[in-house]
Amino acid sequence: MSQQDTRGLAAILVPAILATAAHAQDASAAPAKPIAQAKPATNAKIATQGQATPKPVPPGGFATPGMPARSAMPQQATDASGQTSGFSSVFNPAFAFVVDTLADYSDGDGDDGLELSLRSAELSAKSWIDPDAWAYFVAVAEEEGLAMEEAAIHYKGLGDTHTLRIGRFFLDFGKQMQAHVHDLRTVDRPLPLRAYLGSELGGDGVQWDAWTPGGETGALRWSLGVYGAINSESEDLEDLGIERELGGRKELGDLAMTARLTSFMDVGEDSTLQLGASWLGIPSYSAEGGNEEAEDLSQNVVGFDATYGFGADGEDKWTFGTEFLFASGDTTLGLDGGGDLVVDDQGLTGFYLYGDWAFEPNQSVGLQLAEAELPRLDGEDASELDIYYTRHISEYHRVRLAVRQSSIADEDTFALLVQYTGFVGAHAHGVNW
Amino acid sequence: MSVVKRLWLCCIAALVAAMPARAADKLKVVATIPDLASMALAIGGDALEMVVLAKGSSNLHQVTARPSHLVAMHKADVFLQVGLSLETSFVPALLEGCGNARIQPGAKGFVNVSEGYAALGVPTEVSRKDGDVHPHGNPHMNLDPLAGEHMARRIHAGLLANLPSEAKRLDEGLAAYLNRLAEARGRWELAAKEWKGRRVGGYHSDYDYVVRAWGLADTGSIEEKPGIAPTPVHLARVVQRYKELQPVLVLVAPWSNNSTVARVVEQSGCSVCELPSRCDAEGRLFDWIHMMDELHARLAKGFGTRWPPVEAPKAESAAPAGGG
Repeated sequence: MSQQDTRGLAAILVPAILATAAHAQDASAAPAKPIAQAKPATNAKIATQGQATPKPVPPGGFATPGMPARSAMPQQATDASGQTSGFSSVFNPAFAFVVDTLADYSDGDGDDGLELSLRSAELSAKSWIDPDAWAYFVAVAEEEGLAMEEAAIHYKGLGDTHTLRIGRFFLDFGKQMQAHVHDLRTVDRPLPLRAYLGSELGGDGVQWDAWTPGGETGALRWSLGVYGAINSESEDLEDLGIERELGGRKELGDLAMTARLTSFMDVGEDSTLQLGASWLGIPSYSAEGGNEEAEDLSQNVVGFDATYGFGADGEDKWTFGTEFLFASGDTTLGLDGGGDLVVDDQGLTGFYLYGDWAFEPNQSVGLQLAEAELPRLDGEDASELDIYYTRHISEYHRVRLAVRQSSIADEDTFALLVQYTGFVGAHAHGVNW
Repeated sequence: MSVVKRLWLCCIAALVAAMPARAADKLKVVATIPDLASMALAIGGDALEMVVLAKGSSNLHQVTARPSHLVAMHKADVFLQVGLSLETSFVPALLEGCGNARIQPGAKGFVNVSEGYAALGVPTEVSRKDGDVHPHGNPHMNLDPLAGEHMARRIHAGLLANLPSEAKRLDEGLAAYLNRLAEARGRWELAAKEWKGRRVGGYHSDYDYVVRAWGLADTGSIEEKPGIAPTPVHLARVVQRYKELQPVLVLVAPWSNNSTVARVVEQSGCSVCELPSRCDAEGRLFDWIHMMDELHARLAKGFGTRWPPVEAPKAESAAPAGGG
């Protein structure tokens, strides 16, 4: 840089620094207007717990010597102009953030040792679009990177109990495929669901969902979905280097479909029973592996689920559930001894069953047994036994301790898992059906 | 007439006969807690068909939405809630899922009883670092001895908007209820004269409105923050404080009368007083005034004072269920 350049730069920077300093001085001199006027405390405890004195924040914020003064946040409310504009935040969606961490110690015939990981960090937002529709997204950062797992619009204008869901979302299959893994009762999704549907099963498409009362104490719900693309994660296939193509442009008859019918009813004063049946049909998909491609593959998965819950509010609660799955079609992909892609149309079955006991409102223990014929060329069976303890430290963070005994063919693995999950921001309870 | 036509007619007749006779003129009301149901029934009587969602005495934060709740909400003409996020564990999901535009917020069938009520402890800064804070303030409004009239008037206004044809009956119902309430309040105020300045503690903030109403001296909660289980360090501080401030009467609800409270009471030497936390959907405390009578009777017992207070006007005994 020449001397002339340096002088020019100084000529620009010095007045700018002086102006910034003057601005910071003005800002610190002017008392900030409190956001809300605190109401007088009427009770000593309330005053100390809920009514912390608001700290005035100078518009320019705090800056240490040698550091640039932080600029004031723009005024985004509507009061300045009397109009809502592109800078107004009053209609912004509600955001939520979930951090799911896992410590996993394994001992067995597979990968041994301790692994500490941030399993996922999830950011989501939701808001009403207008009186008939609301939209949301769920973006998840995992080991593989950042993914938009869900982004959809719920259109409610079809009628009181009808919803049209359009976009990318988790498929309505069985009791728990609609939920994200960190929201489950167990550390991982049960074995047969992972084996036949993937640990998470999303789709790009349209789903119609409706329900109707069945008497005074029950309801019948159904859904039908059509998808141009299915996003199903399979660790087994990833390990083998096989990629399935479940999306892309296709004929109308080749679109994937789901259907679910479920009834949910009170049984006596303190119990509920839910029975359901689900179907996923993928009429056409292709796979690539070992420098080969297989086309016009198809697959169907049918599932039946039952969940019984018992326990009055505030008392011990018991939940028992089971789900049976049948997969048919081109279910099994693998590589032969020469590294060529092989497709097998095995019919596969699997199930899981569990019992959970919530002995305190914030603490529960459970046991889950799962078995499945794996979609592998060697036709191996696998089983998993999970014993888990969950403690909600508060409604917004949870720790789970679990032990798992897994058997695949003759290989046994013992794992000790500690899962810690925190939920931040907008948080809501749904009707679980 | 052909056989086919006759068969059709028979089928239609059978279907019509099988259709449940709609309780034609009755207003279908869903109330989140029995307290609101008892007031509504006292005002509207048999013009209402009532369903109560949270029946037990459990912590309302742990109520689970059930299929029958969803169906009741779907069919309701009027929905009564306390609000102030008291029923946040089950109401938002039910409102969203019930598919009933008549009772959605803003519709005339949606009655938020706490609207216009000056709640205690409205936080100026809403942060989870303060525990399970309620942005609209302390939600246990149904335990405020002074809130009865506000709740009754809000319920009356909600019912009237949806059943104008029964205006006379509703007005009379409200007047009769307010008379009973005034009489009861006289009893409570008289009894509470002897309690002013008495020291009380508690597990949660359920009874802050009672503390405010009767000028009791609050010595702090066993919970460090609302909804957060106390740490051992905090418990030690509470025990120490209760010891220093003896005598302290620890007010607990049926759901919070737990082993932690027992330990604190044992170590500090203070005494515990279990109070009702809301009306009982099926028992003798269905009526809100009866429930508050019971609350004051137990407080009197805890403080060792007279109940019923001697100079109180003679209380008229009222029928419990459906009350009035």
